[in-house]
Amino acid sequence: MNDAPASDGVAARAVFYFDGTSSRRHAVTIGFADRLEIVEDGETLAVWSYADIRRADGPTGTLRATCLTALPLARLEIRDRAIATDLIARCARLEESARGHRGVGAIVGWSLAAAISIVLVVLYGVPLAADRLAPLVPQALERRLGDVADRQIRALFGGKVATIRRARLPSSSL
Amino acid sequence: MNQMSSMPPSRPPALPALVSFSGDRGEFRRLVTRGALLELITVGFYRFWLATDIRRHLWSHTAIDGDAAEYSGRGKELLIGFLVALAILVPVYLAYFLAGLEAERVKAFASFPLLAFLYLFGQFAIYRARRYRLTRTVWRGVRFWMSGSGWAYAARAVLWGLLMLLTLGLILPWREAALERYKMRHSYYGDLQGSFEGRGWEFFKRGWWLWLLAIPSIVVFPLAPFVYGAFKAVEWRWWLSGIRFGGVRLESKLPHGALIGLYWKVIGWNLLLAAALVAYIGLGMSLLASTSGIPFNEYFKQIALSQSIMASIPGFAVISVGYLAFALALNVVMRIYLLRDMWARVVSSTAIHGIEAAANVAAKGELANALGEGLPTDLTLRDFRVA
Repeated sequence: MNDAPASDGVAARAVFYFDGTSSRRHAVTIGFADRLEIVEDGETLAVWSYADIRRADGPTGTLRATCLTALPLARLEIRDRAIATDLIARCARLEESARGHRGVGAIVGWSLAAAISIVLVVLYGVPLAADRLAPLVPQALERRLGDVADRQIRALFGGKVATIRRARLPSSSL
Repeated sequence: MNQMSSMPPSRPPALPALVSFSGDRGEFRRLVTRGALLELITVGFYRFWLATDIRRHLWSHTAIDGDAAEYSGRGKELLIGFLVALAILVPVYLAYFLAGLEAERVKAFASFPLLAFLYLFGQFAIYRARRYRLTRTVWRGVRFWMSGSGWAYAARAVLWGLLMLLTLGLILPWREAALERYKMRHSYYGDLQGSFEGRGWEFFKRGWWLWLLAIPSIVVFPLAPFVYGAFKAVEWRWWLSGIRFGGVRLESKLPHGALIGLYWKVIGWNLLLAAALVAYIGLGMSLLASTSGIPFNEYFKQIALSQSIMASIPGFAVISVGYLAFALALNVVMRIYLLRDMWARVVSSTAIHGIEAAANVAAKGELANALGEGLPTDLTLRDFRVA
């Protein structure tokens, strides 16, 4: 393959490098040697192994690449289709960090498992827990719950609720 | 002929940098349609990944001074944020339930403190969610980030909220200005500190007449989308024009009427979908009636006699399917018009002055977690505000 960097005239407008330490935009050329060489004005800024290069999220028509061994935000942006194709051909693991069909399948599977577990808990777990807990609730607490519900219903319906006659314990015993 | 002579003479102040949106509408439509179906299959869990995909699309197709932004968040982070928020809120609800047993005895419906707490927590969540999104926003290999305290922000928001109640919303411009000042002075791009220069008085001058129209627009329906659309446009323009990062200054020229059409399109789709839902239920019910062998009138009489259509299981299934499809379709429509289209219009109204101040900014700032994203928020572009 051609190891020489793409012609300067094209590359200067088509390949940009951000080193992840500053927002400076480097117009670079890339050289396809045994590793990827990122060169600005004859000075090598970075050398990336093809196996470590991954695709980062970028706009349509731009290949935005990152490197596992570089700074997390270091980015190489290739806006020329031919150069991008050349790089893609060399990076076998480019798409590994992207969420593919397997990723979506896992989300669907786990969501369904979670939904089924919630349904089972509601159908079987809650009645079981209620049966076990109901005898343990003291009568005083049940009475309080009743009082609260009573007040709310009275407040909601105003005078339309007939007074329910019932036994009342002296308040001191509550 | 000298090429240079046809170019405009160079002026000392540089031309403003442009912000552009290049996202393909069809691609976005496919993204949200597929996302809505996956949300249905996963009983809603897919929304974390869909929100992530939507942001990736919007961010990566928004170019500032020729360089596209990048959203580096993950759906998994949003899921974890949701679970942590759940772990905080469930004990709060339980504790409140138990405390309520005592409080309600004193006075029925004394749940005001719970609502106040939820409002406070909601404001805290807004701040933390903004911090999460900002730290996942990358431009030219440098991330945005935020300092400040979510609780300090929430306390300010609650106090301003009380003033809002007392002044019937008239104080809104000053509330927004104060809260934006807090958010922006704790926002950074690398080592470039943000600030907010929008004045409450400016916002008030541009929008006071909309405040006057707010009450009539509740009564006179067709007025509401005009008033709300104009209000949102005024708010966006004022907000964007107040943003600063060091020497970088944003300016928006969004016209008053820029967003009104979007709201009308959503209303139109809503009506269309509702009509389709009614037609579908009518058709489904007639089919059910014809297959049951009972005459049409008798069938509906039976349903009417059983008080509720829900008593018939096939009828219930028909209505559920129809309603779910309606809700999903409406979600797709809202995401297309009120997220994507609104984003495109707002972004393309924006120019940036002094962008050269951001040409060599040193990277700085740590990632923040997604706790604030865990709370359910309404589906508006406001959630997607980042800067």
